[in-house]
Amino acid sequence: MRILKFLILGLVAITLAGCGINNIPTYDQAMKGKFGQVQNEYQRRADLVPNLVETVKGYAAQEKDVLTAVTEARSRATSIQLTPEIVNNPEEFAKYQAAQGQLSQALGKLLSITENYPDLKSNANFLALQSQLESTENRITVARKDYIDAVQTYNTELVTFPGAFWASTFYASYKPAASFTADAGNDKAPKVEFTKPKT
Amino acid sequence: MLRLRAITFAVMTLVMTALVFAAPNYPALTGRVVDQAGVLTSDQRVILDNKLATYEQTSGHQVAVAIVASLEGNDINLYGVELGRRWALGQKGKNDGAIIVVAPHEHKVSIQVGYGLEGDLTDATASVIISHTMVPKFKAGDYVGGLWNGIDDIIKVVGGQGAAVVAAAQNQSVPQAGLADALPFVIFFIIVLIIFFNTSRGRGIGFIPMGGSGGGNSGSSWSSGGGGFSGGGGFSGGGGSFGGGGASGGW
Repeated sequence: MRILKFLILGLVAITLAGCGINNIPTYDQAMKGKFGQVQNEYQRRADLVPNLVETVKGYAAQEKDVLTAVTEARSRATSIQLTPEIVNNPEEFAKYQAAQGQLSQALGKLLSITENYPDLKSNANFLALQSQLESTENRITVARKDYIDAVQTYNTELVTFPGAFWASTFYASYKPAASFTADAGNDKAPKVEFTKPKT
Repeated sequence: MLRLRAITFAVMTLVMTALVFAAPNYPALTGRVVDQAGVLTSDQRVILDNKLATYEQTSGHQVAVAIVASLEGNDINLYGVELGRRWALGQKGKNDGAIIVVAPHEHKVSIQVGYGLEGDLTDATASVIISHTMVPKFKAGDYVGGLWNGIDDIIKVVGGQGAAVVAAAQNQSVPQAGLADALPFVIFFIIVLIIFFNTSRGRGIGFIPMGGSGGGNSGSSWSSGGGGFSGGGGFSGGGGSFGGGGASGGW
């Protein structure tokens, strides 16, 4: 009799797993993992900035305004305290995105003025930093896109059947996650649709 | 509320469909070297393919070349990331692949590096390989030469000779003197060589360097390959992924 009970319990568990009872926590973890990647790439960029500013300063010290703007934007972006819960907090999330967007703009301006300094443009150190910054921006774009996709999967699961049923019963604490929107003034979203990375 | 949600959902589905239609026409993975633009002869393609196949056998790293007909307005780096993911280059879990994307019509080239190879083949080194090794050849229309030398450099860098490659490339970037300027130097060099070989008992003059000694690692002599008609059939990605590491350039 007891064995039968266990058998039934086991069967119920398997059936439930087939119904996607695990999907919400799984997608939640995947989405938070992707956000971690976004954070890493933004951090990588922030780490490049002091070196870049120093190098540019060596050739274009008179561009004080632009250099200061970059340094300030960087410190604002890195001063935001990041917890994993930020993904469920639209206001904080928007602040984070705005701060990073300002740093993007300040860096864009810095790189555009470097065009006027041929000596700087041929400095090997600067060229190395510039290529690192470029690919870091690419990494950010990719990581953001991966995160947006993960959020979409997660949020859709919360509101569609059978996920919506589990969300209203077992997983009431799981809230929809915030996502990135196109940056103001930088809304040339890539046309490329990314395949999900296999992890 | 529920109706609003339904409408939002319908709109999103429409947008998604539109995006799928706007997606570029990615070439299929038919081998390690896919030449959609038709700038390589089939021999050249086979030679490059064999080189990459040998490299994968010895190192485990999957490297592929895609010469695309058109980027269809997309950023070449992001295009490369997506193509690398579609082709799943690199070993699963290690993500140690790389992809070279060349867009001859747009005059752009990009090296995209899998997550696991980013530490060996850094952005800055990839950038140097592109601007100093590949772009000058591509500019001259020598696609096979640029790819051959570029792949050579990638192999060296991943093998731990990054500093040497960067140094060689930077020496190469010294403005090239015309042949007339170099002639006295070449003649002097030949004379020194002849004297050297004559004094070192009786070995004949094996080779005479032509065309300026400032050329760095020129003379790739890729003709030595010629390894049959294996064609690189049955190549498929190992399940690796890409995240945007690498570099790009144009000419």
